[in-house]
Formats: sequence, structure tokens, C-alpha cells
Amino acid sequence: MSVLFVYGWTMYGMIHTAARSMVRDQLGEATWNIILARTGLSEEHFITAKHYSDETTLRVIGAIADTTGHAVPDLLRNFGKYWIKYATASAYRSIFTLSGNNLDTFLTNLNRMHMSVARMMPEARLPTFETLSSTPGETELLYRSDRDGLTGFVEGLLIGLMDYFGEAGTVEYRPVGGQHIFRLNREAARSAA
Amino acid sequence: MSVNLPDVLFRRLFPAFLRVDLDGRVLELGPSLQRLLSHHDTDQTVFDLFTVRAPGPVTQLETLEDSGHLTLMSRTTPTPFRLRGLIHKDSDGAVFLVSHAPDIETDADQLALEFSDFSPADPSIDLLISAHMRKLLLEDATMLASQLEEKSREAEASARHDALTSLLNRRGFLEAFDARIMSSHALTRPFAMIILDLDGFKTVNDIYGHAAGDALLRTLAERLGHLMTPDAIVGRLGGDEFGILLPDCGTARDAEAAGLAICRELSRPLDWQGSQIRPAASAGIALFPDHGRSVHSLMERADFALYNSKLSTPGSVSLFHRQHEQMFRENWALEKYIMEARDDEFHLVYQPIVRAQTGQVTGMEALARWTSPELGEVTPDRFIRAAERTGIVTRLTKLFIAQALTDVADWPDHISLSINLSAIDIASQETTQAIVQLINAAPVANERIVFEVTETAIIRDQDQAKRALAQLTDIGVRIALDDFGTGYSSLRHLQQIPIDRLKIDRSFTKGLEHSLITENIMSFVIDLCTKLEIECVVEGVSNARQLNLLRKTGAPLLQGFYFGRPMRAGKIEGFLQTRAVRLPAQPQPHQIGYRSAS
Repeated sequence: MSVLFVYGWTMYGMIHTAARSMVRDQLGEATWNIILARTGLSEEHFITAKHYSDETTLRVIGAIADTTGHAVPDLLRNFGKYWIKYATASAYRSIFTLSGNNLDTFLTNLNRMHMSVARMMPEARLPTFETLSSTPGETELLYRSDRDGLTGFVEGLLIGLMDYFGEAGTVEYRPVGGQHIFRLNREAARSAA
Repeated sequence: MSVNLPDVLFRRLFPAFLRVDLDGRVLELGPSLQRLLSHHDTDQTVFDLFTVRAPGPVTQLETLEDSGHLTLMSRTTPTPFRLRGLIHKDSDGAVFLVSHAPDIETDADQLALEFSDFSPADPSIDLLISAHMRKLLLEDATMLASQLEEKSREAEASARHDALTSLLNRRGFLEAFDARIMSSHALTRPFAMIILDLDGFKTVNDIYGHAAGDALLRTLAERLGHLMTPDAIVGRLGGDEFGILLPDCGTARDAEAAGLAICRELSRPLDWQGSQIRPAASAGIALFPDHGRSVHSLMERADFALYNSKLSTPGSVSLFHRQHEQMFRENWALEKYIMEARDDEFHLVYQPIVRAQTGQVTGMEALARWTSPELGEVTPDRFIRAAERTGIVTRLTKLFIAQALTDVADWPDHISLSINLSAIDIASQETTQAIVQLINAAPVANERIVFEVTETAIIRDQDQAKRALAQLTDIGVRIALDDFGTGYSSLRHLQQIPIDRLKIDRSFTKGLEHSLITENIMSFVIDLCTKLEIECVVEGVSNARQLNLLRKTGAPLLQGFYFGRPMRAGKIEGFLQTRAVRLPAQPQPHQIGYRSAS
């Protein structure tokens, strides 16, 4: 699974089911029920392959932030990391596996996979990633999206990906002239994923 | 670009693409390559940097199947970098789709691209991803369909059951009922359809709260469940109404016995937060096949029977009879038309009240009349009850009082006006207040007004009745206890209610000529009134013999056809001028006391 793939789903119900799973795992069922009541959403908003408006997804995120008291960027970063765990533990793990057994291959196949996803999910608004440079210790990615405010989520996803592929390191985000650049500071791979 | 993607999306996905023609000339560069090579002077120069080589002529591409996305690998020489991506065959060339820009040695004079059959980015990956995606989405859809089926089953079940009592709801009951009728037709098994309705359930809610009402319904549902055999069908039809289909109960005797047993069981007290609620239920029964062979007809007829129970004797059980349906339909029409009636369909007539000894008219009792355009003249007892049932009686009371106050203003000052008030009138503080305002606004001395109320009306809510009557007596209006002797005839009311007048019911007057006991009772009540300083009016005097007997018992005031039939207001003046001289001669002076029955 790729970052873009993840993003391709942001408008689909899977993102809602992942958010629900995160809250249940980390905060408990009672907290989720409070959040659900705040959003006014029901079961019908948690259909994995159904497309929802941005407003619905933001309502879920906003309600979680309000209830937990977390700032939205922190929450999104946490959610990005959780998403990788959630997706790789789900039935969609197979797609993840197909896309590469190391981070480099994964990033190489990223946009190809996006195209496959786009065919399946025509309403997905896909972001793109371009590898600007790649050395053994550092990879720079240029992130493009027609949505604003999700760089925290991307940062969390990249941290989650490094972790999934057994790489230690950090992720830095820097805006450059209106462009979103992420630098992966990669230490030696801890182990193969 | 003809890559089955919007151009903007294509450029995002493949920012480092190269577009070449069939001769291997570079036609276009993606934005990333342009940026990398931006230090070259012109676009043409940049394009000239690339030399595209292929295993054969580039036109070889034409021999390939146009699958849309062929994946090959390209190597560049002499520089060591590689471009990896997809080759897309176009109508006039090919596009080399590169997902990201590698570290190109941009100072090189020539960047040779060579198509190769070596492909680390195997196209099977795309096919596999697509296949997996389809499979997973299908699994999701299948799971969703299962969930929907389950929800649908749950919804179906809840659509047929009552959430409060867990009994079948009306829909579920009717469906089960219908199915049973089908099988009963086949097996010719009789059964009884019983409809139960709680008496005074609203009062339970009002006094103990809705939680108590709900608890009562749950308890009664449990009791019904325990009473019934497994093949009986029990449902809550709505509100405080239950339906029961009792199998193998086809005779009137069995059905009535069952109905009585059920009502008896339901009427057992229920403990509620330190209080005891005493429920009661009325029942209507229809028998299959005697009273109907369809759900509709049996339900309707059981309803008619229930209506009879509620109207005649709440708490009783009625087996359907044609008269029930007739009564229901008549009352239905009565209630419909009285609710739609205009004010001018109603009018008042007045019946005189006279002094027994002199024949002098001392007052007039206003009596309501209704002439319905559809039903003709309707007797007061029928339309007043219909007005009470439909809740329009207060409107009529205010209408009649206003009219009577206008009429009485034309009469001599010594003539009083008696007006009847219903139980509903005195049960409402607002209605009493409205009556007070009407009286205060009228140019008539309040002392001339007498309101007549029955014991039954008082007994419904004694405290409220006392308050209402006190409101009226506070402004000088007088109160008469009407129809005394037909209801509770409680002497306590004479003590507790501010009564100025007591009216002995006409049924006593009727028995006066034939029963010494009646005469003695009459004499006793009249004597009691005298001692309590309460005016006494004897109603229903219709002949001279009754008059003479009543004179002897000392009755002070009399009313009845003998002195005058109810008349329109316009005839009262003439009546008053001729009336006093028409009484027969005064009989022997009366004795107050009892005559011996022996």
C-alpha cells in the first residue's frame, strides 16, 4: 500500500473505519460513542468502499480532536502512523505487499499503484509524490495534493512506512516556495519488513 | 496525451515523462525533467539532449498490442542513470512514462535512452494490484450485503414488535391474525378475537407519570403472556389497547368467560413506588366465523363490542351484537355533526319553576336544544353526552350562558335563571373563570343566576368541583344540586358543597301517586331541605294530583309540564302575564311528616 493509495481512500469509508478503530484501540469504546454522537454520523458513514464528502471526514477528525483535546496536526500525524498499521493488518495488506518489500521499491511503485487505485475508485482525488533525490541515508519527496492541511497526516504515514519496512529514522517536513517537501532521514535498516 | 487519465492527473503521476515520436525524436518533457534541465538555453536544446534507441526501429512499437500501458525499462547511455517507467503507445509516437526523476547528469551532451526488455517494474504488478483491489472490494461488498441482510432482518422483526412490551405490534398482530384465519379456514377451527382497552389509563399517566404508565403496560403484557396458551396471538395494537386471538374458543359462553377472566387478571393492583395502581380493562369480543371471516370484519366488530363496553359499563366485557354497531355508527354521526355544528343550530328553551302554594313563577330553567341539518332535532341527553365526548361541551356552555344572560335581562327581576353545568365545565379552572367573566359582564344581578350541577359531576373530582363552585358562589351566584335521588344521593354533599338548592329528580314525582314509600322519601328530603335552609325544587310535575300531593308534603318549588312546557324566550313575557291565576284551589293545609304505609 502506498501513501497515495491511502490518500485515495481518504474520501472513502475506509478512512472512517480506520479512525473508528484508532479511537477504539487507543481511547476505548465509550469515547468513540461520544465522538459518534458529536458527529451525528451513523453506520451508513462507515462503508469501506463508499465515497463520502470531505466534510464528513473532517467532521470525524474534528470530533476526535474536540473530544481528545489533541491539536488537529498532532492528531493527523498520529492517525497517519496508525493508518499504516491498520491497513497492513487488514485484508488490504496484500496490495501493500505487492508494492514492494523495501521502502525504495515501494516508493518507486507508488504512482503506478495510484493509477490502479484510480481505476477502481474514480472519485478518489489522488495526491502525488515525486522523488527529488535519493541517497542511502536520505530521500527527499515532493508531495502534491489539491487538499490543504494534510501534511501532518503525510508525515505520520511516512513514519509509519519507515517503521513498517524496519527502517529507523526521522521525517522532516518543510514548505519550499509553496511546495511540500518531505525528507526521510534514514538510518540503517533494522530488519527487512 | 491519450493515457486514459486527465492531463493534469497524468502530469502529476508522471512528472518526468518523455514523449517521443516514431523516429525517436523527443517531442515533450515532463515538468520534473524540464526543471532538472532548466539551465539549458532552449527547449529545443533540451529535446536534442536525448537520443532514443530501441531494440529495433521505434516503429516496432506498432507491432505491439495496444494494451495502453506497456511497462519496459529504459537505460541511458553513456551516463549510468536509469529511467524506469511505462511505455505508452500513442497514435503518432510513444510516451515514456517515468514516475520520478532520477539523478540525471544534466551536464552531459547527450542522454541516450534505450528501450529494453529488462523490466524490474513488471506489468504483472499492476494486474495483481487491480485483481486484489477488485477481490477486496468484492469482499467488502459481500460483507456489506450480509450486514444489510442482518439489519434488514432486525428491522423486519422490530417492525412487527412493540418495543415497550415486546408483544407483536399492530402490524405484526394483523399479519399473524391473517395467517391464522387462513389456517382456520382450512381447518375450520373457531376462535375468539378479543380487543382490550384499559380504563382510565390517561389518569394513571397524569397522576403517576408516564414511567408508571409504561410499567403498567409492560406488566399487563406479561400477565397476558402468562394467561395465554402458546397458540394464542397477543399484540399491543397501540396506546393502551391490546388484541388477543384466542384459538378454539368459538362459543359466546366460552369467549365471554375468557374475556372476564382476562379483565379480572389485568385488574390486579400493581405496586408502583409505594403506591398501588389499580388498573381496569374493558373488552370487546367477536367470534370467527360467526361474526366475520376476515381480519377486517372481526377487528371492526370486536371494536364495536368494545365501544359498547366502554360506553355502557367500563370494565365490562361485550360480545358483538348488531346493536353495538348501530350505536357506534349513530354516535359517530352524532359526534361528527356536533363538532361541525354552527352556533345558530343551537337554541335555548325555558321551563318555569313555580311556587307550589301560589303558582307564582319564580324562575326559569334554560334547556339546550340542537337542530342538526343532517340529523334533525337531537335530544339534549344525546347531544350533551356527544359534546362531552368530543370536548366541545365547554364551547356550548359558554354559548348557552351568553344567550341566557341576554334573555334574562328582559324578565322581571324576581325571576331567576337556572343553567346546567356539565362535569367537564366544572373540571376546568379556565372554563369556570370564563363563566365568571360572562356573568360579571352581563347587566343582570348575579343572585338571579342558579347553576345546576349533578352529583355525578361533583364526584368526578370533588376537590376541583369544590373550587369551581366556590369561584361561582364568591360572585353571588347560587348552586343547585340537580337530579337528586338518581345518583349517589349523598347527604355529605349537602354538607360539603355550597348548595343553595336541591332538585328532586322527576322519577320520584312519577312514583308519588303509586308509592307511599316514595311519598315518604320525598317528604323526608323536603323536610331535610327546610331544616338545612336549602331551597327544594321537585321536578317532573305533570298533573294536578301530583301537585296536590306535593303541596301536602310541603314542597316549596315545583317544575314540570303541568306548569308549562319549555318555551322559546319570546313567549316568556306572555306566559308570565297569564300564569299565576291558573292553579287549582289550595288543598288542605299540609302536614310535615310521614304518612303511615299501613
